[in-house]
Amino acid sequence: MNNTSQIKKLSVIVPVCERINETISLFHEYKEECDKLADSVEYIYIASTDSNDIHKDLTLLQESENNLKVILLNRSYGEATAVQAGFDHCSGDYILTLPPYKQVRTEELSKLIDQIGDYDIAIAKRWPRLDSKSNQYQTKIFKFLLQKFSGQKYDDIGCGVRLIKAEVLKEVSMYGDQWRFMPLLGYQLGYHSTEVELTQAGEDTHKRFYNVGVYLRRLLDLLTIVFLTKFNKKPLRFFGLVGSSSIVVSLIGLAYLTFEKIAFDVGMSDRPALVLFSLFLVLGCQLIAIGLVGETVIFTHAKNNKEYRIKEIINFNSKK
Amino acid sequence: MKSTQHSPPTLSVIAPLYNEEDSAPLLHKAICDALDPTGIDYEILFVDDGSKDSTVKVCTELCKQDPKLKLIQFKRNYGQTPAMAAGIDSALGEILVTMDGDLQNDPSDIPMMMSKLQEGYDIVVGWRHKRQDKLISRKIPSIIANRLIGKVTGVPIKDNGCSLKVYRAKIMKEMPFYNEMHRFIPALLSVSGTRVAEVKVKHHARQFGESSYGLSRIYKVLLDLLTIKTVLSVTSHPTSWFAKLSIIPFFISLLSCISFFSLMLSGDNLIISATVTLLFFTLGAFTISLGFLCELIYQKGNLKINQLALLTSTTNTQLSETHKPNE
Repeated sequence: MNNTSQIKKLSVIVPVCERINETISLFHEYKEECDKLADSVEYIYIASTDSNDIHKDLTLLQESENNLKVILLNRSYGEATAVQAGFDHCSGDYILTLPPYKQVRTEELSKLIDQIGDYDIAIAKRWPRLDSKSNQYQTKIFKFLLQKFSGQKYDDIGCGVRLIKAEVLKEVSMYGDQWRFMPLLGYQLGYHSTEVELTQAGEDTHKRFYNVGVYLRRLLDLLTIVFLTKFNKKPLRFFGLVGSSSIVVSLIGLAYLTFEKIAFDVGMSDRPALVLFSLFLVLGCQLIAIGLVGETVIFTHAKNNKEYRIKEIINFNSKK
Repeated sequence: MKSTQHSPPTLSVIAPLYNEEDSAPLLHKAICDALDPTGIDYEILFVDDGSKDSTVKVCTELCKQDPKLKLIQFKRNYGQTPAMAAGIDSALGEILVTMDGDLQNDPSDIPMMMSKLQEGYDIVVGWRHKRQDKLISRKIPSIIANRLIGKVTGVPIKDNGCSLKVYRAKIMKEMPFYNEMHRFIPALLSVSGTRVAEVKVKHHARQFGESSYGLSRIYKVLLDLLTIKTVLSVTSHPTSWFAKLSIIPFFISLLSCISFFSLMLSGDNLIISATVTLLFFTLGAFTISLGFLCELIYQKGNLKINQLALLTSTTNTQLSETHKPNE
């Protein structure tokens, strides 16, 4: 294969967090395909679940495989933490992350390596999709929200199959459930990603409906990421916007009440609207004050957090 | 420390470039023309802020011709202040100059500003005193903004927006510098007892391209001003700043309380005024408690203003002994 020359050492990281039933059987399938992708390949499985069975199964598997590392975390930390833990123990130039359940046809994984080119991250996009319309709509709605809030376009950020340059994971700091948003965090640091179409696996086509809590949590995660990426150096811009809108509403209301008091002598003291608008005023002030505390945090830690990432320094100065 | 082949340069000129393929060669030439006759050992740092045109290509060519020129290329567009920060972080000189990349500043002012610095200042700020911009959309908002910034921060600079500034590297490298802070450098530096001077500089109209400024800028400057005021007061006594802020809600609460008692005498409905009184009282208490929170944040942070103050007290003597520009 001519593309293998591109990557010397590949680390395959599999965060084992949810839908863990096929994990063990899938390992052999992954291994068969991934061994072809690079000269040397290592496998790292990180179990971050409360289930003890998977710990035992993985330990057993590890005894029979020599290039498999197994890291057992003692509770469920979320995929992002698991991937970071795996990254700390890997040595590849490129990292291929795979979900512990089948999302795409494994035969097509080499496409990622073919198409990553100069990009830092190649995200698999499950396409063509074989699953139900309702699943596809969920992906579409999430894509729409993501684009509205963050201004960035990713067709299928829910897919866990990604090929990443090692330096990206070294720089990006993520935790908890932020794994799906890794490309956004990477973009903030100047790492560009591309999407590669891989055919969806037949095993991934069952209908998915989660309970309301899961959807709410996703939405909250999305808002957190937008806050962290867009306002991470200027919290007051965010809190100030919300807070000053609240203050403007209250001031308009209070002005109207004052006008009625002066023009028509309507007493303020028996109007509940006064409480409402005072409440808005107080809320606005509190939000802005919280923003100021945020700015203080940033200011006192700014020296340690560089905002920019340098691609290259060009200098033809011979003397050092 | 005599100036030898291998010693770092005395002066570093930093210019952020964003889509400036036309200006870059002219700017490079202007800087060289201004500094070569003075005999100062200098370096030029161009920071490419993720330009979409051929700025990088043009500058790489320039770098090949001039070993004094260094190009720092960003991975993507980050903004003017991060670009300046990158230049400041990798500059080797003891004196730093920042300027616009679009030829609106004139490098021929640099020697004059440097000699001003030698008079015993830590930062010399340019004042575009014959500004070549539109009156209504640029000049008047700028005058109001500068007055306001001077009032709030207590550092009366006539032109905070001018990028052409000369600093001592030791102080600048220690200052936290992010967002759109470049506008507030004099105010920020003032916390460490920095001596600020302002001199008139030349200003040219833009030769290439249009500058983009919107009305949303006013709102941003106001928020930034609030930020600067807060972070500046945090460095000395956060509790008292937040306590001062809390006077307003406490005062409203007091007024409302008075109306409560007057209503009580007349036997009117009391619930509304009681609620309003308590609401604003709560806000006052909330604000004061944030002051304590900020004390905690400052104590746990890594910014130590007293060390900065030490820097400003020593730099002047050291510098005048070692490097004096030949004039």
